[in-house]
Amino acid sequence: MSSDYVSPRLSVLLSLALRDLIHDRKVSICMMASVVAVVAPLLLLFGLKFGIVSQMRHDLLSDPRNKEVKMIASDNLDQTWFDRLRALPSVGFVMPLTRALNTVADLYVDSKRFAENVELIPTAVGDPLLGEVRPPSAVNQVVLTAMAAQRLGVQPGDTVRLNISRQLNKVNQRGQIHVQVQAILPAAAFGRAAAFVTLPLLVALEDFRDGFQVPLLNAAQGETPRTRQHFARARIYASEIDQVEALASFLTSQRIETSSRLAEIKSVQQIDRVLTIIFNVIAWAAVLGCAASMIGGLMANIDRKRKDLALLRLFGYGRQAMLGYVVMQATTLTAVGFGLGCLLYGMGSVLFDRLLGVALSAGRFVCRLEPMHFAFALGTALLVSLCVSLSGGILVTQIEPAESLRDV
Amino acid sequence: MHVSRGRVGQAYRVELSSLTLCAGEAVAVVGPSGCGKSTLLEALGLILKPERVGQFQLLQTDLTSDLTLRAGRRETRWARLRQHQMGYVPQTGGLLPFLTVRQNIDLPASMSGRAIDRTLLARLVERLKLTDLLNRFPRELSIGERQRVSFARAVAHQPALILADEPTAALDPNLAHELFALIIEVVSEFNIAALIVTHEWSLVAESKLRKVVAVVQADHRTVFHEQ
Repeated sequence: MSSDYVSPRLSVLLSLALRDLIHDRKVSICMMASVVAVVAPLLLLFGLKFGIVSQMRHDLLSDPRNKEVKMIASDNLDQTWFDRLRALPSVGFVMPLTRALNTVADLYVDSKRFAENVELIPTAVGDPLLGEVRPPSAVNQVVLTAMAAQRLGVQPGDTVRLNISRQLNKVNQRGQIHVQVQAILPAAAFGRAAAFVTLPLLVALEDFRDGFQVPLLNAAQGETPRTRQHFARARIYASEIDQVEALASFLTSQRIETSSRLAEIKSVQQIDRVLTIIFNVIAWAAVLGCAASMIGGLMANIDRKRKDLALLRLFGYGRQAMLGYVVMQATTLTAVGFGLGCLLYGMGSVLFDRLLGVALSAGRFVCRLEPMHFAFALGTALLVSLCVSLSGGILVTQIEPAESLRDV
Repeated sequence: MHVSRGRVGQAYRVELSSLTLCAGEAVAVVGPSGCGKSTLLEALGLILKPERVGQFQLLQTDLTSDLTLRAGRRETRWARLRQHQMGYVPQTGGLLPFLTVRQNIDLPASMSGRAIDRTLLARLVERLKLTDLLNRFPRELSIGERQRVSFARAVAHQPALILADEPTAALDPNLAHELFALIIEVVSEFNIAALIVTHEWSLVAESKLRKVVAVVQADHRTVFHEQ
């Protein structure tokens, strides 16, 4: 008699396990339902949390002004200070700024089309306010906001006169420069009438007001200006929303008073944290409950089918194979239950978006999950079912082949 | 062969001095209830480890050493031997409720990845009058039909030895008689040795089977010997 008998086939065991589940469908549906009952609400709950928090974060991120840390008072900031600030990882964009009163000018096209006291904002490459729009590359170029462009009735490429006046030796003087409109910033990005200019132009305007001679503005009178070393203020933006706090506290440590939207940012972070804690507690309670009910179900199943399982042992399946039988069944039930849970989640999330999303504009979601979240949830479900079937399935390894023959 | 069962001190022992089965022959094991017939069957069926064994041979292969292997290795080795060389007919049931009659009969062969001999199977199914029942589930069958399916399954993968533990006990006398006769005929036709535990003396006598008879001793001991 040869000793190279083949081991009993696991593929046959798998088909037996599945046929058993189908035949015993009432109990199978019960166990599957316990998985669905946990998966669907947890997905919905997490979807809501993720949807709400990411919407709030998206709102924060979509407005670059949320990354700004404003200096409240004027100071005397030198080049070293700016270099040091730019080197900080929390800093995204820094631009020197003149004294507040010197950042306005009048723009003229003709006597009917003009705008007075237009805000002038120094800009450069990387300015968060400009977004995709290219900053002016020459001193005689500007980027107008939509409101300013509308008042002046100009298009990109048009030329505008920039006027500024001063009193020198009790005589009113006027400086002016022709600038070309390089681009127009959409209204959504900046609501007021403003012109983004290069820093040298802004410095020239301040020099003019301070009484120096400025050839750029056709002002020949006054002293020759000193080379600019110090600035009164700065436009400062954090690299990320989450860096605003670090940046603000750095400036505070420099004895610079600031204002920022830190409170709004912190409240989103706080909401995220609270919702995460709530979700975790509920998830743990639900998963533990489901695991306990599945262990109970599996053990009761093994008890009920003891004779059938003993028969498989009699026919040659080993203890590990029988454990595999239980694991295959639990995995199948979990996978199908998970699928149904996802289906229910899909319906629930549509319902949420319909009922709660009325206030939101199109393309926004109340309840949202990424593919990664589903993958993680499936992985967790299968891991739990493996642990459950291994612990509940220990019973099956204690079944002896003899039990199939004896009527106990 | 000596087999012991139960706790130390209260154990009862079953002894069989010698038994030889020929292919195609059925032998009856008879004796009063509770005398250890099933215990003997389990020991011969590689389910229960004997305490002592002189020699155990199956189809000219000496398996004596296989019977006394250490627990871990013995379990795997016995499982393979049961899978390929043994057929079992339990007292009742023993059919998997989630498989059809055909799937139940095919199971032992398909577990080994073997294609079942179709002509042999057709003959077996016809002899046991199961042709019309092949696609039914066990719960749709009468007890007598179930026992015939159970027997067909024990035969279908052509084992060396069939062990039947009171296969007719749950049937009424007429059906019992019929199944018993069928078993003897089929075993002979398919050239398989069979050991049948029964307490139906009349059937055994009628069929002129060889008998292994239990003699219950006073000291929790049953000695089986061929009569």
